[in-house]
Amino acid sequence: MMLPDTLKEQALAGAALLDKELQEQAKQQSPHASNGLSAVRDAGRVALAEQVFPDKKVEQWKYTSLLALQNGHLKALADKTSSTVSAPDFGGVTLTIINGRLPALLPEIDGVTFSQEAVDQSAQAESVFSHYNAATLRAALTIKVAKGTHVAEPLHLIIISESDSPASAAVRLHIEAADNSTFTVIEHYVGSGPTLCSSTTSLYAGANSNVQHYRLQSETPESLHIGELSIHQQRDSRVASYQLMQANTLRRNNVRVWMNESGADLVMRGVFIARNKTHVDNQICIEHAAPHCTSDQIFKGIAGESGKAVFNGRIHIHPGAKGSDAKLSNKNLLLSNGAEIDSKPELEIYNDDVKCAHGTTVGQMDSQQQFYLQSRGISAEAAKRMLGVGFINELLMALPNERVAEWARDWLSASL
Amino acid sequence: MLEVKDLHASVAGKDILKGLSLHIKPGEVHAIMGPNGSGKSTLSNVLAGRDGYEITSGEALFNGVSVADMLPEERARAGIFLAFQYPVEIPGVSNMEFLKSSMEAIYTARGQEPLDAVTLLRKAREVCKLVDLDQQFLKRGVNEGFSGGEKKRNEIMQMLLLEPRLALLDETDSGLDIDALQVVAKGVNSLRSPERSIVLVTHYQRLLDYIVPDFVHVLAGGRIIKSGGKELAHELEDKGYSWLEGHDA
Amino acid sequence: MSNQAELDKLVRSEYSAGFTTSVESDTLPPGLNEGVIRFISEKKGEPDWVLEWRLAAYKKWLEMKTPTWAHIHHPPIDFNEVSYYSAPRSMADKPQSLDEVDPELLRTYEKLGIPLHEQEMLAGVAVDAVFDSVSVATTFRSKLKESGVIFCPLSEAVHEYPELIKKYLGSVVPQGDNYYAALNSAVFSDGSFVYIPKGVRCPMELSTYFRINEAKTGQFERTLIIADEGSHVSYLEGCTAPQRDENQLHAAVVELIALPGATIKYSTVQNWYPGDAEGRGGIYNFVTKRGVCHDNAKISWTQVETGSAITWKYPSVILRGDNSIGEFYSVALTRNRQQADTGTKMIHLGKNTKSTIISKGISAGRSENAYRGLVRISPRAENARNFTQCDSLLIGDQCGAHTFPYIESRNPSATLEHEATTSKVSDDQLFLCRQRGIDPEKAVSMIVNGFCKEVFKELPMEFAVEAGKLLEVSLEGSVG
Repeated sequence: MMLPDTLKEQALAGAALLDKELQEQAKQQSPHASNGLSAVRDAGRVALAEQVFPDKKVEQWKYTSLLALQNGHLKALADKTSSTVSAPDFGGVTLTIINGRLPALLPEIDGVTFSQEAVDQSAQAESVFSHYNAATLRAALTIKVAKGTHVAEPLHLIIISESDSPASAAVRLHIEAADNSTFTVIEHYVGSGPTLCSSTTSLYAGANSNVQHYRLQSETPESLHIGELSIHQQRDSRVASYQLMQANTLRRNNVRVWMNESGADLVMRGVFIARNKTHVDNQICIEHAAPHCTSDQIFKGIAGESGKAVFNGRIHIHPGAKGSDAKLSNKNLLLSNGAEIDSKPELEIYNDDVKCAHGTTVGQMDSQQQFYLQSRGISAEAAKRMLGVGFINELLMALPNERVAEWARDWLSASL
Repeated sequence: MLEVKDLHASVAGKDILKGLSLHIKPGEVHAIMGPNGSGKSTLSNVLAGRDGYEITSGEALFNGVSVADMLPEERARAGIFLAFQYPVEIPGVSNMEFLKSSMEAIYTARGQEPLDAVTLLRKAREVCKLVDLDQQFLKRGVNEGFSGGEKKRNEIMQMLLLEPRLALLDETDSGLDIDALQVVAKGVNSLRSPERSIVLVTHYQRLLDYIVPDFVHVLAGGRIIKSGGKELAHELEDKGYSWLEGHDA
Repeated sequence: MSNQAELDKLVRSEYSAGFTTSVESDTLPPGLNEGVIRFISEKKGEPDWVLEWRLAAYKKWLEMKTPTWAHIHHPPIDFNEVSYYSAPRSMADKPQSLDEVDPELLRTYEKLGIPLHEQEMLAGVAVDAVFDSVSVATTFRSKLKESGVIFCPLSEAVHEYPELIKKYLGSVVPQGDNYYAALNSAVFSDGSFVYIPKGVRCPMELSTYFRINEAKTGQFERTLIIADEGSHVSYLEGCTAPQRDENQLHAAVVELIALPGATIKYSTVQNWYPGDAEGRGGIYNFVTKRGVCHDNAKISWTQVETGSAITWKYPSVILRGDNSIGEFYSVALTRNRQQADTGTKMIHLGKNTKSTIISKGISAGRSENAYRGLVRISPRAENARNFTQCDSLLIGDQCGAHTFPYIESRNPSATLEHEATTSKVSDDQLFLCRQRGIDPEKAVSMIVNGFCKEVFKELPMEFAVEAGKLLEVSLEGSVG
């Protein structure tokens, strides 16, 4: 059987497994109040049955093979309900999700409501994996920040995916920051074992809201993660999204930002590190759909040993989006033979009154700098690490959350 | 030279000039001062014919001819020069190439033989020296990557080369340090002559220490609310624009 | 008049090469099958192996699908509505000299500014004139022969230099390389063949001038240039076609072989009929151009693309040898309803290979202009270098400008840099020029020429002037 067909069969088996698990549960306890979850799940299963899994001939999957998934991640569900995996403390309120299960008690923050409501995101599905996510959801989390609310402390979501054998865990987050609110959310994905994390996050920034968003992905190298993030910005909203990624067996980071109303401003920073046979594929698209929006993206990548890092950054200026100002920079370090970096910065522009620029570089560590450090007694290895951290540090220094920045520096230094 | 009578003008449908009158004779230097938003820049742009700046009533006569129906390039060829408040960058078009096209168009319109390339280059180098601009700037793209001060000096350089009859300097002094200001003033003063008129549009009095005007006008609310000699500028400096606010009624 | 109105006026201009020549032609009825291929081969008196080669390509083509990845839209092409061979009747018995060539044909080229009588020509440029499916004249051949340079129609080369043709035809662009290359390999008509012997610096510029004349006819020429060790050649290519309401197909293949130490400079000024303001008619230009560089060799592509309803071409360089150099300089102008998807591929295989890509796209009217490029650094391409700059200039708010660069690196000692910007001819720029007394027409052409300068300086002198003018004419009445 061809790989796409195998994967589809396994994905449907995974969805059926969840269905069975839920029926068992229903027998034991009274069914939950309707929160839209079962509808989302059913729709996901139907769509999954109709969809085709992509192969490398599909442009968006040109550089990423799904071969690693044939070990059966899609057909089994990670079932641990507790975990020993730890995550650093970044301050603020913490909420832990284990293998797609929410804690019994949701936190309380003034002006913020937490619910298990599942929001249908199928209209924005980026790939067949959006439907797989819907079909295998054990739970969904919706967070709503009320109008004019200023939440000073960050909300820290720790998302753990853990299993001993190939299995998947689906997570769905829906965050709405209403008009004039200020909110910081940290998604931190951790885990262990050969687990596939299937994540979907949608973030809505209301008029004149100010949202800081962190998406940290530091699962172990043997894990897999296919994630989708969509950001929707209303008039004059300001969103800053910081994404730090450690490559793993298969990491896919789909991001789409919709600048739907004028005056919206986006700052996006990303770091991805791929070493030792790991893989990371970023597909970032900024939709400038309204006039006078600004977007500024900087992504930095490092690939070493036989790691492979992919960056596809698309800026799409829609007709009528005059006065758009979009910048994208992708800088990469290729450390060794056998490693690979593929970068594709795209501009698609349908309006003349715009300012767009992108730049990409792929290079190596500066041998002069390395020599300089070594001549001061620093070992070659340490010098490389220092220069690697230095290469990324420019982005880390700009992180508003000091504790995240500090953690990131340690993480980086350990992974180089 | 320039006669502006009860001029009303709008920008993007918004009335900015509301009955401005001004009479400038050959050889005179006029300073137009006023607070932000008073219509100073609008006046120079209307006179030069920028797109979107519309005369709604009244008239502006240049040597007896209404400029209203003249294209920007026709006004330039007739001898009106605008030193831009924000000089525009044109990447890829060298300053020299730009100067040559401009000089050819203006000299031809004047009935003068355009300078040959060698003479033009020699003259351009002299003028560069006068405004303290490195000759390398002639080879670079028009204003491309120039600092603020360099852009302003480049405007003066062009003015000296094109020898206009009416020079409108739109806030040429803003953003300049004192050294650059003196260089600009030196350039402008060298152009003073009985056949030429100069209009200095400025927010600050200090430019007028170096280029001494014959007349000073205060613009507020789209009209000239007070005119006087050079001492008016000092008075304004001491008392601020609010001193005059009562006059505008 | 407002700046906008000036721009509008500027963007509407006429196509000056749109006339037709009335000569009697032998034209195959539309349709494509094995019989057609046999007919073309027989008409050219080809040896059997060429016919076999064509038929093999045809088989491959039948199994292939039309590519859909480019950023272009057009109704499906009915390949059975195209005539695959047309030749002026007067060419049937091969005129031996220019004096025997139908004066009507010579006049056609004169009108296009390319006199074929040697004494009238631009000194130092030899021309091969291809009219529909045949070469009508090749000038300065004897003079070139003195230095050992071969410059002749490919149809002749097949007979006279079979060893070279056998060795190199399809060696860079194989028959089944892509859909349009496969089609070309099956039905190719004429084209130019160039061979520069070892160590020879070709004493003059070589050029081929392509003209499509007959209605409903496709042009499928094939050019093969071999620069032997240490040689040097500069080659120019020009193209025009009459103004017709239907779309005509042009699917060419160009193969360049730069042997060790050789340099090939290939310049194109493409001015096929672009269709009218409503998008009626125009040439569909699907072209495969590729060169291979051996050690220390250099291939430089320069193109100025102003014509065609659709342009689909990616002149590429395979940097096989160590220290080899590939360059691509391009200006692509689209207006009205034109669509262009063009760029290059630089495939770095050898050590210390270097490539430079400068692409300037100008979109006006309701056109779509895309740069698509690939830079690939293979694992053994130590110290490879690439610099890419692609800039887009937009004129008007109904056009599209797109950039799709693919950057793939698998060697840590390689350095790649890619930059792209998008800007417009701004009202402020136009006003500054006009305030300095410069005509708006002149101002736009100054700004556009300034934008293209880095590419124009790569063109041979005569063509640089030509290209500048062409751009001016094209923009006249076409900006809006």
